[in-house]
Amino acid sequence: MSRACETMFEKVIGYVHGELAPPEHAILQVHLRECAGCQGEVVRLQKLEDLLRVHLPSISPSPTFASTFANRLAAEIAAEEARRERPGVLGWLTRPWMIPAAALAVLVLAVTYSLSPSPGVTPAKSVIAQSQPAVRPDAAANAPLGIRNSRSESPALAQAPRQGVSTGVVASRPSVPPELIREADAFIDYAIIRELRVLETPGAAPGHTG
Amino acid sequence: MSAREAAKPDGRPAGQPLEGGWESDPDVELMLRARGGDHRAFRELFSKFSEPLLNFAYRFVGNRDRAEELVQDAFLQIYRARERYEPRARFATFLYRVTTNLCLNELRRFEYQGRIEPLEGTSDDGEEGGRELPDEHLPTADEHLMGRETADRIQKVLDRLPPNQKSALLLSRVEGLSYQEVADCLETSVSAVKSLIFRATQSLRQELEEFIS
Repeated sequence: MSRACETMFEKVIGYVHGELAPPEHAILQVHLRECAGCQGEVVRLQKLEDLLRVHLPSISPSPTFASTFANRLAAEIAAEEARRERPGVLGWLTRPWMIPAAALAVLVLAVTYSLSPSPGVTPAKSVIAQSQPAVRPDAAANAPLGIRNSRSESPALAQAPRQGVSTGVVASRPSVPPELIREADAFIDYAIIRELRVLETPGAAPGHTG
Repeated sequence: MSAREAAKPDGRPAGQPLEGGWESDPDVELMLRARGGDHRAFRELFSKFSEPLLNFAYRFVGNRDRAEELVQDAFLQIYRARERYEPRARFATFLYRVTTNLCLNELRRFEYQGRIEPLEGTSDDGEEGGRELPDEHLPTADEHLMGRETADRIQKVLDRLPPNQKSALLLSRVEGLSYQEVADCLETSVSAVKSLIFRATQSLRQELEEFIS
């Protein structure tokens, strides 16, 4: 085989296998008309094809082949059905009713949270807040759901002096000036005293402060 | 049934790809029915393809029991994944792809060496287990023996090929898949397949010179 023909060998294989594109096929046919070496190669490759086609070992399935597969398939189908009927520990998460149920639960939580009284600051509470540490040791247990208490979660912070250290929760509340608290207390005292005087006055109805 | 006929359930001539795309493949239709829960369609696919696939696996791993198990594994794997099946090629290509992967894994796992069963006249169950000669006439004892020796020799040469060359050659020259289909099966390019087949053919041509010259 000449060097030129050696480079054609891959094309000859493609030709015998019927895998050449039409232009390549035409070029090779022209070459084959002139080259006895490549013609011989085509013949040899065709014999190799026949050899593979005819002489490769061939077997028939064993008598139990089909029934074994049928049993394996039946077991697979049964296992699949069992999986659908008895979901695993977390299998209930994939149930079809899970999405609306989860949506409803979120809605109920949201409504409950929005309707719960906001943590307003009464004068009495503010006084307590000023006179006591910002966070009590049991604050973590009473913290609302979803709000992280950094002090209770951090051992380092828990050991730190508490006076004057405020948590994010307390710091976010508006602080009330002491003068305002004193004025409010004075107003409450005045209102109570005035109500009592009205009550002491004969013939006066409660609430008619006149 | 000859090895070649067994390898081509759709009755195509040797080396000739199926006309048209997978859209006209009736086996794709069967698989789509199986995807929809039609167990009968799946069993039909098994009946149609199990024997050619068994021969393919047997030529690959050289052990009947293991070949049967591999074919069953391939069908079960396809059954388990049926709901995700999206036709992109002929069903046979898809099936050979799954089986080839299993066979390659098998070869890598155990590194089969010279373990092909001797092609005796009968298998353990007493059934004709050796290769089937395609000749119309009954072979003489000498012809029969010579045929077996040839088959043994070819199989040994095939077994010495690297697994990728072997799979490309078997898929293309024995199972009748086009180069493009072989590329799909092996998840590689057509040019890589050409190269694999070229090298495999060169090896076979040298090793089996006495049979083809």
